[in-house]
Amino acid sequence: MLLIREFPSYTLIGLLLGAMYVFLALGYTLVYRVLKVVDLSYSATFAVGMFFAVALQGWWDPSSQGPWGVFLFCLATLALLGVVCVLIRLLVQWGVFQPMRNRGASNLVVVIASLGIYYVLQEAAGLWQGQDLLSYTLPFDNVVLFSVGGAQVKLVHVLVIAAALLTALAVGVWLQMTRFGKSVTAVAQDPIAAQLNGISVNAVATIVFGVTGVLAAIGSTLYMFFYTNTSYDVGLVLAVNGLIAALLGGMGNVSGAVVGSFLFGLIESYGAAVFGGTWQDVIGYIALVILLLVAPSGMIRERRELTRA
Amino acid sequence: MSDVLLDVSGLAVRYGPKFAVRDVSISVRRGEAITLLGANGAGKTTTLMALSGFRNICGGTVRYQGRDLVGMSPASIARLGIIHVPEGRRVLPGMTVSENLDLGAECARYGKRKPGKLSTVLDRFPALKAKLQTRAGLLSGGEQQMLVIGRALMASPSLLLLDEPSLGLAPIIIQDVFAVLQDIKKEGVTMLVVEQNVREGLTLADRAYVLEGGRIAQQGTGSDLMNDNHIQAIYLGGDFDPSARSAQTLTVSA
Amino acid sequence: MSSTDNSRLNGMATDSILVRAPADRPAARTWRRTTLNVILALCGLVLLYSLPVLKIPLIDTPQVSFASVLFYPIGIYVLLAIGLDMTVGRSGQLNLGYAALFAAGAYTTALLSTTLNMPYYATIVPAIIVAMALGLAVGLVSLRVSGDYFAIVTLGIGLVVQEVIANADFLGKTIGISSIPSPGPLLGLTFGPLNPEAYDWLLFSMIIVVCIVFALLYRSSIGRAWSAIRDDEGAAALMGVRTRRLKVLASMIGGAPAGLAGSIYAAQVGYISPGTFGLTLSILVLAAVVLGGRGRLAGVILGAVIVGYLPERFLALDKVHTLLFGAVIAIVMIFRPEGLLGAFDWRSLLRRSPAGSSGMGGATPRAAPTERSASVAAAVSRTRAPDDARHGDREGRKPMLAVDHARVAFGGVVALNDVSLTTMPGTVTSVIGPNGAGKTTLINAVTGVYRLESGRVLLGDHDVTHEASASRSLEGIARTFQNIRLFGKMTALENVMVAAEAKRRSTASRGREDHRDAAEEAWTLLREVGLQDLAAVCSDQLSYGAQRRLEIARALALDPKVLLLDEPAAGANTTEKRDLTRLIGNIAGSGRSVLLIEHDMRLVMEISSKVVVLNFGKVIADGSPEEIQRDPEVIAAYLGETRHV
Repeated sequence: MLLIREFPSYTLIGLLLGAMYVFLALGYTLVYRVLKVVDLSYSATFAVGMFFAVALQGWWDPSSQGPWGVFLFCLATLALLGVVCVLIRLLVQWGVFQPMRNRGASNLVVVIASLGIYYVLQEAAGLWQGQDLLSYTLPFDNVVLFSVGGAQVKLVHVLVIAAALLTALAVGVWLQMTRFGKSVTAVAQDPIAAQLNGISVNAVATIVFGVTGVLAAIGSTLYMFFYTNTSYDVGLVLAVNGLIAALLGGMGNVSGAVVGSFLFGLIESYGAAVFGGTWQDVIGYIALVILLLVAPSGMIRERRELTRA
Repeated sequence: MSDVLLDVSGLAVRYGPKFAVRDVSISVRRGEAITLLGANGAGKTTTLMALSGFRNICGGTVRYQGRDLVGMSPASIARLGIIHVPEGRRVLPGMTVSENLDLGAECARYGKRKPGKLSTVLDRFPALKAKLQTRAGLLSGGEQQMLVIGRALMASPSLLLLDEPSLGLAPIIIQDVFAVLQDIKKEGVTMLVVEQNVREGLTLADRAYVLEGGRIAQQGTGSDLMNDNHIQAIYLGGDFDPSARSAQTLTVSA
Repeated sequence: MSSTDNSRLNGMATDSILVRAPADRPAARTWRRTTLNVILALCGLVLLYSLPVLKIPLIDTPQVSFASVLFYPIGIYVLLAIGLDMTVGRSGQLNLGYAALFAAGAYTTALLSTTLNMPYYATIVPAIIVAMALGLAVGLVSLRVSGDYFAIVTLGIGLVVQEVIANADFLGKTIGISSIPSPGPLLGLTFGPLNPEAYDWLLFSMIIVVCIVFALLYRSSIGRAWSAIRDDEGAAALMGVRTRRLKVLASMIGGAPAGLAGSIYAAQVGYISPGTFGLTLSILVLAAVVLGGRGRLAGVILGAVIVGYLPERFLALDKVHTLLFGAVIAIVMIFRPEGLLGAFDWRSLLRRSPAGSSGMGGATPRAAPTERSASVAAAVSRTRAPDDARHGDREGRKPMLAVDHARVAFGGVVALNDVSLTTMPGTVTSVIGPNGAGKTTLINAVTGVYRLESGRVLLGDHDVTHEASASRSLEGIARTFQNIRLFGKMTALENVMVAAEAKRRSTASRGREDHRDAAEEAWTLLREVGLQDLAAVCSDQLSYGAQRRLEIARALALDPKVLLLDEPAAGANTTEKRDLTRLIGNIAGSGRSVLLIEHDMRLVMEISSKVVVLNFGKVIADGSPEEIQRDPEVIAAYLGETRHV
């Protein structure tokens, strides 16, 4: 069977897909943790970021500038996308989520608003660069680094997976060890108790949104390196897959988001091997629907502490 | 010791078209313990929540050391040193005792004040000392009450707002809690306490106010009000029958 | 039981019109208000569809004729919006895959008329049925997941359906189905590519029919039940509303307009492909509902007209129209979450009118109840307990409610620990104890909100331990809430009617007939608690005391054998407490069994035949009021010792 013959390759693909999803799942889960709401506009940020990466390539061609030029180019890409994505996320927080929270809007209303913002961002990207596929040239050679049982592991692969793991680790450390991270946990557990202790929920939310901007920047860059093409509506597929990954791990559970991402990447990859390509897209959606029917609150439940009556 | 720390004048809070609190004026001097009494729905908790920033104030002024608090966010008010210990305690259930106490210290640091000393607080609450690494959600009601007071103390409060510290606690535990509050008061912490437990509330208080239907119906010193017939009438309702001995022991009611 | 001085009793000045007017006036006004909404919608539609005839150049759409635009997208969007509104607007669930139901209708008609050569008119009903089946499936899904997750699931469903269609051979894959025949002639109209107006008329008449059907539905008892679910699903279940069934029903019925729209769309356009039925369409229809006003027929129609018309009128908008509507959705949600017409207040058209309902489910007693029963005594006799509650004499009676060694635990925390108690018909049993002792937990366990880890709950002889809340309520366990859970956006009368109608639905299904009109019974109950003059007032506008009494009236509408009252006297003044005491006494006197949680000792001692004392989840004493007052353990643990200053 295809899967068994090419198991290492499909595993590699699965891990790569999962690594991409980490950036999405983490974003959704962080916002949910703090604000208890799913921000549907998040994945559209990626589309905008990717378009800036493509644009940057239009202005600056590092191919003739040697390894340092390439390195600087990559840094510049990250920096530019960082600025753009963080800015977008902050605008969404200040313009949409914060005012709505202050008005006491219900979750349904906030989700609908975030959906509207998704379309604003996506269509803006489409207006800018059009609705056709955009291609991107990898600024460096994607050399094969080593082989595992027939699967060729290339430079970009290592980059993507390593970046995903490091980012996840960084976020984890940030949340557990730093003073700010503890405020996030406090707000996640009880926003009112947090405020009673001088923690401003708005400030915490703003910073968390900013961090999701950084995640989007890194994720967009890696996406371009790996897929070398994109289109304005890439946010849709990213949203569905990212949400599945986050839900698999339990919405709001940070480590769960990471595990869920890799798990889902593998399911997708192995599923495509078993069922064939045309149904690949659908697998994700079907998995999502089945998942939510079977385990409505995600597979790994966040530990729930209960206070005495 | 007689400067006014908190000056509330004509406070009004609305829920939709209805006034929950109307024309409430309270003053708290440094080092005083003030109690707010009243039945369920009289507006005591609303008053406290308005003072700590959780309710929109639609009328009146609230001045703290001369500074206007109306419109400030709850986090900013907490950073000023006005620490609100809410009804139902609100510990952070997933965090340990030690982490909860730490939050209080953080609050002081946010407000650029020196936090309370952990060792002092733990000495005061030996039960907490034994359970430092236990998750706060697993503590008993009384222990949680001690924890939130301890957390408040770690925040070096200049004004402590306590909402029904006796809620849900056995009478014996209630006595312990109020003993702690007496101690704290002796050390000079100013406090504003909302209570349904008339006896404990008035024993602690230097002065007290009685709220009825969102307004101040009565005020006076703790001992004056303790002996006041009207207070007993409010709580026991209508015709108070002095010959029923049982009625006299029923002070825990509203 | 005094109902003479209402303004003082309610703690709020009542509108003088209400106090003076005869009792039926407020209800009539409610009826007028609802119909106004629908009439406006219908007038708007008539105006809309006469526009092609009027030939106003200003509204002309550049690319295609206005008549064609009127069909698609405007008319189609109107139908879709009305259907989507039933799930989003009325039950507060966000459905992002509604286009799938539209596709279901279209493809059914297409398949049947091309492959099976059925005449068009014969394909309409199957199309509707298929769409409703899909709606049913989505509804069943909504029972498993809620809120945000439901939105994501429907997003997934929408995408799955589109992918399946695009991949299925018999549905033409990405090419779709073409050469769908036009409908045959009907009532003098001939259909064909040369006369688009004919389709407009067909669609128009379908829209009118759907509007009227839906309006009638929303005004019916089912509509009130839906509103109750939207306001507070948990409370609705506890008032006997079968929330699960009704939500699924809403989802299913909401699919019908989509199926209908799909069917006629397929016929008009002659050729369908998967691309049309994508997420963008779902979003645009959602935009229509959200923009115009969720929960308002006139609103969603207006929204659909705007969303459908503007991109056609202003072609420059073509590239940006999705962006624009995305922005509009966001802006509307931020500043006016109710939509353009959502919060529009018809009261401003009527002079000096009180706060009223949002125009749904108006109540109309067929005759002024004042002509029939008048005295409170008669009212009390109407609320006599069910027969089996009144049999036998005082001694030989069996308990009405029995809690048997109940244990409720959350995680590692035991909230109720081996609690047993019984209540007798015709008596008041009070449960006292400090806050946090488990009193409300007890009520929650009896009403099915909390599951028992062990032990039983019995109503008479019947073990209800494993029954859902709604069925317990319908069998005869009713309650009020410590923190008041009324259906805020509904009037006082409607609140009571929800419970009364739920009761009627259940007795009807069991074959017993009850001819009394639900509205009439609701009136009677409101009179019994002194709220008859506030019947048309929105319940969230009532004073605290009035709300508490309304909760009692609502619970009584279930004709309960056991009534559980959770701190009904909280916040009440002396007079109100006296009236409450009398009311509770009447309720018990009519043969029902009352379980009362209260802090006011005087009230408790005065009215109870038995007092149960809870502390830390356990029963520490159980006996007559006198016994309890003297019990040293109770005094020590709960009442405390007197300390001298």
